[in-house]
Amino acid sequence: MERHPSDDKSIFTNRNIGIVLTLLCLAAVFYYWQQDWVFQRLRDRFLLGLLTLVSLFWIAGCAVLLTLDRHRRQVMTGLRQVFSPLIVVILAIPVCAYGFFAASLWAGFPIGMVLFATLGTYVLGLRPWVSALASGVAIAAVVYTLFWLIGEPLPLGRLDTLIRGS
Amino acid sequence: MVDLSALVDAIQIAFTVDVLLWIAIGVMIGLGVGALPGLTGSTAIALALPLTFGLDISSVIGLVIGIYKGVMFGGSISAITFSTPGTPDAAPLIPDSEVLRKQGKSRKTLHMALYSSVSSDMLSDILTILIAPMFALVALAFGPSERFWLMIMAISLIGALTGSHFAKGLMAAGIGLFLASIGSDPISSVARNTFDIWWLSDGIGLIPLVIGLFAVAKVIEDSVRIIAGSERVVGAIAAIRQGAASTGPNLTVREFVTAWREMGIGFAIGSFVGIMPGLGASVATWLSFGLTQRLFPKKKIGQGRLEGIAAVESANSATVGPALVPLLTFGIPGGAIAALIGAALSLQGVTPGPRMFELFPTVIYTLFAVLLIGNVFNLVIARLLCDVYARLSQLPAQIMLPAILVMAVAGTYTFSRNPYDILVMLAFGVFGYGLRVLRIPEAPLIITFLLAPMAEANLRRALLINRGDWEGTLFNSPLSLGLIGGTVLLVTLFAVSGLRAHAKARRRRSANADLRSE
Repeated sequence: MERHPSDDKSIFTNRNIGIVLTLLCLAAVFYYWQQDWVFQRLRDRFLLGLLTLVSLFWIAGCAVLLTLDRHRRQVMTGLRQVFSPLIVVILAIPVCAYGFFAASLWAGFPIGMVLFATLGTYVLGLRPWVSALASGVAIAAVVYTLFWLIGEPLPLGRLDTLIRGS
Repeated sequence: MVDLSALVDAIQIAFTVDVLLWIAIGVMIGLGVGALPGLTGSTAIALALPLTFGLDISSVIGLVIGIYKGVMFGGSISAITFSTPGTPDAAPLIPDSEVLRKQGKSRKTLHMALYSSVSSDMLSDILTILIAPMFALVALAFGPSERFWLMIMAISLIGALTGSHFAKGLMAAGIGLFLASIGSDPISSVARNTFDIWWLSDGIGLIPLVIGLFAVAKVIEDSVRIIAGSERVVGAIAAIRQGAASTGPNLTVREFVTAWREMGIGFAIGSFVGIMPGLGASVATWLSFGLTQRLFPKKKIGQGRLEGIAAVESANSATVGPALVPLLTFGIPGGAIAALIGAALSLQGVTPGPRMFELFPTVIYTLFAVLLIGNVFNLVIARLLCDVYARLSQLPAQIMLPAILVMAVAGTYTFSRNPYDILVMLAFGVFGYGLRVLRIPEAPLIITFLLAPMAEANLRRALLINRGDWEGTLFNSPLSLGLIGGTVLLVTLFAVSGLRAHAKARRRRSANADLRSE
């Protein structure tokens, strides 16, 4: 495991993570305790919210264990990325992916996939741009063909109108 | 008793062109995914799940079993050709394969890995076919209360054994239980834990959950690493063309037969570890490597011996069939891949469990036949194309990651045609990345998510039988009490052994510190 010089002073230890998770679980338990549906008794005398409450107490118990067990001083080095400018990348990926999906519904998946895959490969560092474009086209062709082969073709969106119109 | 007409039907189905084609496609995809460092079988099967929607169940079995078998051997291709294990299970191959490659024997090494993999896999599949029906008979004797406790025992074991951190494995199981509680009550259909969001009343979909956790989280994790390191790839195609290929002479029959003891050990360890929920192939390969090293010190396994390759690869592949035994007999998946195979069957309306042998005998015999046929495909395809896969394994992540994301979005949408599922999948991608950062394993989460509805159904059935008497429901038979005792005992044992190991390591560290100070 990679160790960082500042690991000994890091706040990202299992113990601290355990404390935060315990507090979050207790807050969740408090929230659920206020909900009427949780204590609604069903015909078989089963509480509607029993599983939810059990799972929260279970997670809280494990979180407490995190603060006490032999790994409590272990540092989760990956958390540094979450608390750095890289958080933009972490959040941008799902946002861009949803943008790609929404655009593909409108413009058609073949166009959406080519654009998204080309941009994705280029942003990740594939050079020159011709290689990125070729990769984008290849990815789109393979994925589109795969779904067409199993009888579930991806929507063509406006592309369909264009093809039919011509 | 064997249902002969179902057996004949299953054999006929397994040899149809469609099924054979899907096995071949599965093996080819699996070998490729296995050979690509960083990608695992879970990612491949998770991405393949939406494709199974348009297929009949026998083709689905062919596809997922083919992927599973391909991935298990594929991981060794990159480990042998350029010392980077394609999957974590292939890591113990490195010490021997590195030396053998320097001696110009990489082709021999690849062939030894392939032949020991296929032969051990074939034997373990036969073992699975023999023992699974017996286990199912035992499972049928369990009542709802016993089944509930068995599932609790399995969840605790999987949580405790998966990953290196006891508390985090169990925490993942707790998260799985929480997610499973979202939706509607299975008996009264009253909405629960839906946060008043209407589209959550059907619960969280399995497809968005698994694709988010296994595929999107992987894309986020690797993209962050690449962007943080400002990695640039120029001339990717040229690199693939010039990639490492196997060199040197072929493996002789004599060399293969000489390694029978190591293969036997690998087969025995792999089969045992495969059946045990929560352990996984990595445990099997390291155990087999370590044990053969100790048993045959004169052979110097780990220093460039083909026997070392045989020991590791046979243990790896011997887990494939037995890993399905708990799933097919008790309905309890022992690991992430078994859980995804169970999910693929469930999506086709076939719930894995002891009654599967009664209700769907043709399906179970087809699965057995596909397990055996898959080995032949694995042998032929890997033998013919291992050099191609060795080159393909150098495909840069810069191309693979956008491809995975495109496939994830297209697959999730095609499966349900529901835009909310895309949102759920992406949200679980970010959540899964968080789990990876905190080193919380995903497998116990998925397994508990799948098992929780079954455990709840059994508990409530038992409650109805006992007219709402909780004490009578939970502690009504010696078997239930035995399972409760077993669960408590096993979890305590793992916790105590962990504490002992910690105390031992602490004593060793303080002794070393004393020596240094002297």
